[in-house]
Amino acid sequence: MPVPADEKGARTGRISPADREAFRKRSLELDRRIDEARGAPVEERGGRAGADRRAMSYGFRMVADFISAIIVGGVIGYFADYVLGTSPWFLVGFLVLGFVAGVRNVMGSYNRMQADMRAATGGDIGRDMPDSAYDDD
Amino acid sequence: MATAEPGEMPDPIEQFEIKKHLDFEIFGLDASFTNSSLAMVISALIVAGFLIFSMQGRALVPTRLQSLAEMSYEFIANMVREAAGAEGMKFFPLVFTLFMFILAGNLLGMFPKQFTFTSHLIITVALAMIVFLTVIGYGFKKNGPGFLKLFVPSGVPVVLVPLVTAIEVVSFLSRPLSHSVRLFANILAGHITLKVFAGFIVMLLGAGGATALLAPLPMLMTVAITALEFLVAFMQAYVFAMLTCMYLNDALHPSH
Repeated sequence: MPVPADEKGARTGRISPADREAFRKRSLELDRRIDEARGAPVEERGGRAGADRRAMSYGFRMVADFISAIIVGGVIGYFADYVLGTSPWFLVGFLVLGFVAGVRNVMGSYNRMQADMRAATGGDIGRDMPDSAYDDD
Repeated sequence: MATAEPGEMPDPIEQFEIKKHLDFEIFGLDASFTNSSLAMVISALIVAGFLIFSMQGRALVPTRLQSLAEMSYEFIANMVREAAGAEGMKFFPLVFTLFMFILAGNLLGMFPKQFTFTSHLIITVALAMIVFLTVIGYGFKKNGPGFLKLFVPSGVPVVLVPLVTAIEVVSFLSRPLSHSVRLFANILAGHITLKVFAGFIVMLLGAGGATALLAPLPMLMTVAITALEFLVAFMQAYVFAMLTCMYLNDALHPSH
């Protein structure tokens, strides 16, 4: 009865060419499986819940970025008016500025997320989390 | 207040109440030692204790605890190097402390009956302000007035410069807010959700009759959300540290 390659090698402390070939095959197989897992779309790897969770955290981040700029703009405007007595002009102006800054923040974080996504999966946010994923809900 | 009647919804907000353990007043300011302070002291002790204890052996082949400590070091060190460059490593102690402190606080909050200090906006704002003021202070110290280039992106037509600068300034000032709200809101929302779903179990059981048969459903949900909360606890500490690195990067390299 033939002894399995790795057992024989372990017993004698020597590695025969046949064993080496077997090891090489196994490591190639492992490489292939790792590549396969890397290439798989996010949804397959993290599961549906993982993708939803990620989408939610992205959304949450963007909302925080957007709202905070508007609030800061509003606060600056309010105090400028309070100090200068020009109500409501600075409030209006800075709210608009805050809005623009909020959109800019969101664009910035979107670009960063996109870069993270590409680095991690080779895909982008638009592809890995299509709108159609939510159609069946 | 502490014990809900059977079939009644337990108050999901009660867990965030501040209770004074020791009364203090410094120059008319309330500086009492509260359950929040206690949770922070415990977190700091856990982090310090964990790192000191785990590195006792200083073995070449690390024990499990030691490799956990080394992993957390390398995790943050890589993050700092990637986001802020090799120069950023002078801020490693700050980022590492923030990360470990928040992580310990979030995880500590996962114990039943334990107060979660990161669910209070005042704490997260204080942490975000440390970062914000460090960025401003160090930015001016290192770059002098050149730090203001951060607010004037290159390649903008001269006519638009005042407008773009104003937008950049508002955007910059909004950072500590979004930085702190993100951590606070995630933890707060998570803990409230957990409490609400756990409350459903009590309500269904308390209502009596056949509704009690439905009680296992929110029970399953509570178990799932608990697992999710552990993920959130880690993720939010990570996000906070990551943003810290990105903001510090601006102080180190202000020109876009």
